Amino acid sequence: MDPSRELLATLLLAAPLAAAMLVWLPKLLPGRAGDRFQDYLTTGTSLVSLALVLALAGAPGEELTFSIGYLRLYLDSLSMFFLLLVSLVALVASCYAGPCWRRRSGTEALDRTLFYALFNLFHFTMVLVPMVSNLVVLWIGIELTTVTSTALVAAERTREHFEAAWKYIIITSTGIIFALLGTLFLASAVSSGGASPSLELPQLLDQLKTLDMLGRNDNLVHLSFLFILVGYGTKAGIAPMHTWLPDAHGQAPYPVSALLSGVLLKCALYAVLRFATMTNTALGDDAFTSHLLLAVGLLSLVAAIPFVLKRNAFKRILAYHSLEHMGIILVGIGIGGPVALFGALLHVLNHGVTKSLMFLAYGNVQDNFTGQPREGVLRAMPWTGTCLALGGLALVGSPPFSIFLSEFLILWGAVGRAVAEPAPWLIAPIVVFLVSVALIFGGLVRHLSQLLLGDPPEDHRRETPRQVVPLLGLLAVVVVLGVTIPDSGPLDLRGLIEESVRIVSGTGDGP
Amino acid sequence: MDIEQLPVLLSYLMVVMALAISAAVTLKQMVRFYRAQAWVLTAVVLLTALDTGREATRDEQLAIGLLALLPATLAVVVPPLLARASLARATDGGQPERGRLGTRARLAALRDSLRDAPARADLTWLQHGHSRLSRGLSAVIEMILIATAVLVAYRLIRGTGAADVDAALNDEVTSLAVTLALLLQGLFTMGNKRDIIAQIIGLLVMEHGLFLAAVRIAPAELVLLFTMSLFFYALVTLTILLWILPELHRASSSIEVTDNSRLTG
Repeated sequence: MDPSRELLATLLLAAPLAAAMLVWLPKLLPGRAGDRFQDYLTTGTSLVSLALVLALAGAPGEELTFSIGYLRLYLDSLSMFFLLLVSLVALVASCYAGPCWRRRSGTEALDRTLFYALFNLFHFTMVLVPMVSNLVVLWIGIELTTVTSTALVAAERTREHFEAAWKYIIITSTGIIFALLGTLFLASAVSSGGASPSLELPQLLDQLKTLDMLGRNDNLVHLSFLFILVGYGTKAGIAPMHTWLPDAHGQAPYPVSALLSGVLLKCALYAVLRFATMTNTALGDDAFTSHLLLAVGLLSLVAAIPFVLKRNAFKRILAYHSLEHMGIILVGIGIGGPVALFGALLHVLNHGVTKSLMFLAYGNVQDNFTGQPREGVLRAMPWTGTCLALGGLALVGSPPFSIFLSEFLILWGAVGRAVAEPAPWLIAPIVVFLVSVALIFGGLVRHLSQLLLGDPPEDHRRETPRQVVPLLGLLAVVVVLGVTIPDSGPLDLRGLIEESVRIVSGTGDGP
Repeated sequence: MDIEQLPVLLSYLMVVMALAISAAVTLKQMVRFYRAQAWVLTAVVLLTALDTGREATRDEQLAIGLLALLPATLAVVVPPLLARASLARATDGGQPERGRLGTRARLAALRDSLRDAPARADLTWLQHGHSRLSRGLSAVIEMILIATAVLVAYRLIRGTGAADVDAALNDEVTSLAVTLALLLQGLFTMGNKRDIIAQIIGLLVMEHGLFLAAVRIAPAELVLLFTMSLFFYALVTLTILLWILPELHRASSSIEVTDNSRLTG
């Protein structure tokens, strides 16, 4: 055990929590100094978080297990991969928290300090989820993300915002009940097999490996995963439990939308992945989880199509795009095998980064236009408009951007499996995948061209470097990941994903 | 009758009460049945804690006993909170002063707004609570849901391969069946009722199912952990009851679901 890595991991968890408390200090400072302090503190904390993740992720394959008080933490490559996404998106989103909220001062919206505190708490809960070792604490972590993010969705305190927050909390809270029951059923399955169950991730996986000999209850394991998929799937925005998604993403302040779509959905997906691995281990093969994930993945893909094609508010269209991309990720996981799984995990990162870019760029447009932006963005805000255009192309899977690469890998994995094992359940997804992606491509390009082209209104504000620079950083990531997956330098991303694939497919040493 | 069978019998009563909640035609009846169900759950939890036949240690039994505080607290605080939310439009208005109130003043205002709130909400509660489906059809669907829960529970336990079902296993089947029934009934109530207060009561019925599962189905050595998680779930319930629900009512001036469905597409 490496004490320095323990310290880094502790700091990673503590930093956003400390920031959530420290943002209250400016109540003692006069005027604008307090605002600046909150800005720098939040962005600085996110920067420190990213640096800590990069330091921790330096050696893919290494595991870390330790405790902070009663809280037991477990970090492996899969955790690190999700932490990387959380920290990266949180850093860029935090750059916009201040400007976004400044324009809402004087309205009914939440107090600025409370907004910052919630923003940092939300960051903390999303860091907590991939770090915990215990499955019930994982559930509590997901539950805490709901509480903090609900407050952020409703932060502007208008009728529409409360309606969105209401739908979000009601639907996800209903779903999460199933997730806890699924966890309980898995523990009961181990217990009925004669073992004394543990809900610590590494120990439980060991117990599940020996469950076969002890006499397992397959029915209980099946129902457990079904409940997990309904529970965490609701939070992950998977069809048909996705109905909260367009409302919450559409109404939340744009840095929060970026976090919701880019990261929060993936935190719930992380839970699904962990349980899928455990279910496969318990059952001895992956057919049950594969078929189920493939089915809901395709359903999500198909369900997104009409809403992306129809005329709609742009943030809602982006939210439906998240539904499509969660579908693509699930299809990749459902197909399985090293190539498709690698593609699916890479897609988790690519979608998180690209979707954040889109929400933040559109947030810039909303801030600089009076009223609802309809056209002329490219002429009014050339840098932001370019980011929107390129980000949009990336989102629909155009080369040479990152999403093209991950979608191609998923498709390659699917075709490879279909050639080796020609079965309708493998060929049908490929057809549905291609048709859906093509239709959605057309839909988003149409919406984007309407928004970007034409004449802007005369009373728009000019974009500032502060609005543009973080977007360019995200765009650079989108472009670089479309060309290469770094395996040297500050981060061995390829190694991290390969190790994560081994963990998810159950061929690694650890869970 | 053996005292150890009492929790099982009481859990059946919880299903009957969930049926009553679903069949109720006014919010007033729904709240009354909900409160009764919460007290019955409290009794089930306490009886389970006192059951010496279970394979639980003293600490685990103490944890289960402590958990009884949660449904008991909810039985006491939920009706006034629901009443406050039902009255939000009349009492809160535009809330122009809310930003300037200190914590102590806010707590005092909350206490004042909760005092005799159920009595003041009577009229609203008598006017709301209607279902989308007819009572007959609702009852048929509920029966199907309960039958499904029982079938699934029996099938799950049969999966263990136990040929002769002993009393402990029978208890587990019953508790699992009741848990699943409460989940499905709560879910059905949420979808079938026309107002947001009734929807919350549906969610609370599901929460009761979760309590029951944590206490009666969870392996003894994990009860403490699952108990802890329920306290966190109560956080969500309180967020809804104390903040979102009253604010939504204040903002929309209605508790009807149709009036709170502006966001579409």
